[in-house]
Amino acid sequence: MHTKLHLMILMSFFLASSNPVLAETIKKKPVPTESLDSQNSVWNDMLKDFYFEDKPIIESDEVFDFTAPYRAEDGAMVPIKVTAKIPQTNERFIKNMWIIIDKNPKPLAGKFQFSPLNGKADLAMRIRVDAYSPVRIVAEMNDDKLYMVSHYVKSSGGCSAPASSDAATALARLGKIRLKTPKISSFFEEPVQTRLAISHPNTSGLQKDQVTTLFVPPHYISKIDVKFEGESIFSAETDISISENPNFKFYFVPKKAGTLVTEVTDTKGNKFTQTKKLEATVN
Amino acid sequence: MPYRSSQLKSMNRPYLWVAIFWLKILLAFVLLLAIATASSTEPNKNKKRHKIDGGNITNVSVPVYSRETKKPFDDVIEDLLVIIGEHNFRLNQHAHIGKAIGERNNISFFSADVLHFCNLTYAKELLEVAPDYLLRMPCRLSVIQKNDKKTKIEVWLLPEDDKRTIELSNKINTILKNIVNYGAN
Repeated sequence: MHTKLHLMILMSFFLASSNPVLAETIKKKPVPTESLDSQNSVWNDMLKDFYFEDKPIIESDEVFDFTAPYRAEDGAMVPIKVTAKIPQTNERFIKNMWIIIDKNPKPLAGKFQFSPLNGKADLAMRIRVDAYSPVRIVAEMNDDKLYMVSHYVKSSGGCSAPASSDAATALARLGKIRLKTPKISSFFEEPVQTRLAISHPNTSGLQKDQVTTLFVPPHYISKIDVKFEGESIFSAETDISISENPNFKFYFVPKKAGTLVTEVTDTKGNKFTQTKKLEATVN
Repeated sequence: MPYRSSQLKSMNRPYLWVAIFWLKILLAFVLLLAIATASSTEPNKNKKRHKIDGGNITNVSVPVYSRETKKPFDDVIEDLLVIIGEHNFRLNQHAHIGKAIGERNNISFFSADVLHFCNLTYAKELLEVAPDYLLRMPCRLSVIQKNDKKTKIEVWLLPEDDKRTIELSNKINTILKNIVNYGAN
């Protein structure tokens, strides 16, 4: 009887050690993680007061949703997306949107302006994340109320990562603007997705030249303005935390045929302009 | 029907019936295990293996997704880099093969780039069930523009007939096709 019992115990140990899942569970030790207070310390101690003084901020996804990868593969190109939950109407709309990366050398990635002409205040782009940090979207409504949604993003080295294209290629394409709008057969009240692609190295000043090992001076896009028939449909003040070759997705309502004019200014004072006619395609 | 004496003898020994019963169960189990192993180690029906120079040569078919576009080569590359980032893949290498050939030989050579990119989360999921997929990593995509001014984009897809990875392969293939389509549109 005792022999059987010993055999059973021995067998269970053998099974446990040969089972990779079980063995992994036994070996796994709790990984120390940053506490929520510690994650938000930069925001609570400095950034909130610096950017918004004593204005109350509602932490809620009632107005918009925000997606960002928890584990970003490339710190220099972290994809983020804001999806508005309310339509942009004259009565209620998102007026301003701030993107803040707490632990970046310059936390404010950009301030974006919206209006009822957008139809919906969705926004997508790629940003640089320099250290494990919360990424925050703060939206200001037309009644001045502030809403915030944040996500913790694990990534690092985004601001100092070398550019993906060489300096000569980047210079040759500097300031090339491409505004992609879907082909529309008629003009309507529904918002359509528009993609703005700007060829620009957007150097942060923290990247090193791979040959000389000297720091590459900062040179980035500081202002973007897209107008449709003279009215602004997308406007932004941006900083070093926007990835190279900035690419933005936003919406606007093409109620009529007209001209889209894009104006981009960088920190060296270069101005780049592109004009595109928007016409309905005849089927 | 009258029983033979040997049958009568064995019927009088119940332990023998029990032993035969368990032997049958064991045989059935071994048979099932053999079938399961055979199906899991043969993910690609088109695999052909033969020995040469002391090593194995395995022919594996690779599905390729391709698109042609009239967009300028540099615009295609820039758009591909954007969309690769948007899908949370990391660019591992950008090989300017056409440009390097042209520079070394001092000739005008057509544009031909290869992009290598990876998402470690997907790579982990895939390798856990199919370690032999390592050779297919990272994802690779080629962009070529010959003198006809048409830019061709091609990407290696994952096999969709492998039972071990069917769900994940479909998911990754959808992303890879999206990347190519975005580069072409």
